[in-house]
Amino acid sequence: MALADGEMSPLDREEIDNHLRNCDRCRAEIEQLRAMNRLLSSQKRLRPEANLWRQVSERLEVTAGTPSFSWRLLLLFGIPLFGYKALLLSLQAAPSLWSKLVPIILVITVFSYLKTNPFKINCELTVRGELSS
Amino acid sequence: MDDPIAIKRCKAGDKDAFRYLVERYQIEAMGHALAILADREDALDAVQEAFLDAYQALGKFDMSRQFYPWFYTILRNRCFKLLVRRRKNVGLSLDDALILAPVSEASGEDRLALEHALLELSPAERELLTLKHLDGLSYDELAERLQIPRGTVMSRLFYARKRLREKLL
Repeated sequence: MALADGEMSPLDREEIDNHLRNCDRCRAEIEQLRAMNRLLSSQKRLRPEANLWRQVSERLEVTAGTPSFSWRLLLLFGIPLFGYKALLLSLQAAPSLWSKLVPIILVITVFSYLKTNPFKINCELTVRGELSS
Repeated sequence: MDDPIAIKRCKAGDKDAFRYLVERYQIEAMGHALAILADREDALDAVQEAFLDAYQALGKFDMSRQFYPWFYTILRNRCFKLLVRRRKNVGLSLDDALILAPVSEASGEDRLALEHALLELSPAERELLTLKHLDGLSYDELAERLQIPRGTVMSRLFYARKRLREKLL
């Protein structure tokens, strides 16, 4: 195959040329391969018209408008914790029921915000070029 | 403006510089995405997403590299993710060229047969064959572009060509 692509080292090429002189089957195979390569290489890739800037720039604006991750973290954990602490202080007395309920509510809020993937684990299958159609 | 200047400006938050990159590479990117996805709508989605990913990642871009090979990695990740997510069957239409440009009338029949055969291959096989023959990449360039060893490029090319030949017969 490297021979048909012209990417063979000189030493390998000499060995293969010797073999090809005496092997009709391999010679025919190489010829077929070269013919297919010629057919493929005589083609040009389609260059479809595209004008994506408008859509891309709109999406960039949206992305720029969303708070950064550190801000989201602060909002996510800071506000509920602040609220919890404020609640504890306001109750002053031993908040036995609240001290049990609030962490549960906090956890539920956090999990529902992160939508069933609380630790942002990437569970998406990554295919590295082995997909069949 | 050239690529390194545009990239430096993008890193500083200049969106007009990014516009230069999008407009310079969008057609090439669409061609590559179409070869993998064989679907115009999906290709448009993938290229848009890839440009957005690229904009986010440009801060970490190594200035000693060229933009498009770097961007291509992002684009192909997007394409293969889209394939996994959608799993839809590609409608094979001979009237609608998706990969090969009409070159001349004389080669029309060959082109259609080849286009059809390519569409019957897997996306990964199509990608490899088109990069090799339509873009003329060497084994080493393919290895870098696809992030696989040179030997793997050679063996995958062998099997892709074998399958293409079967489809053409």
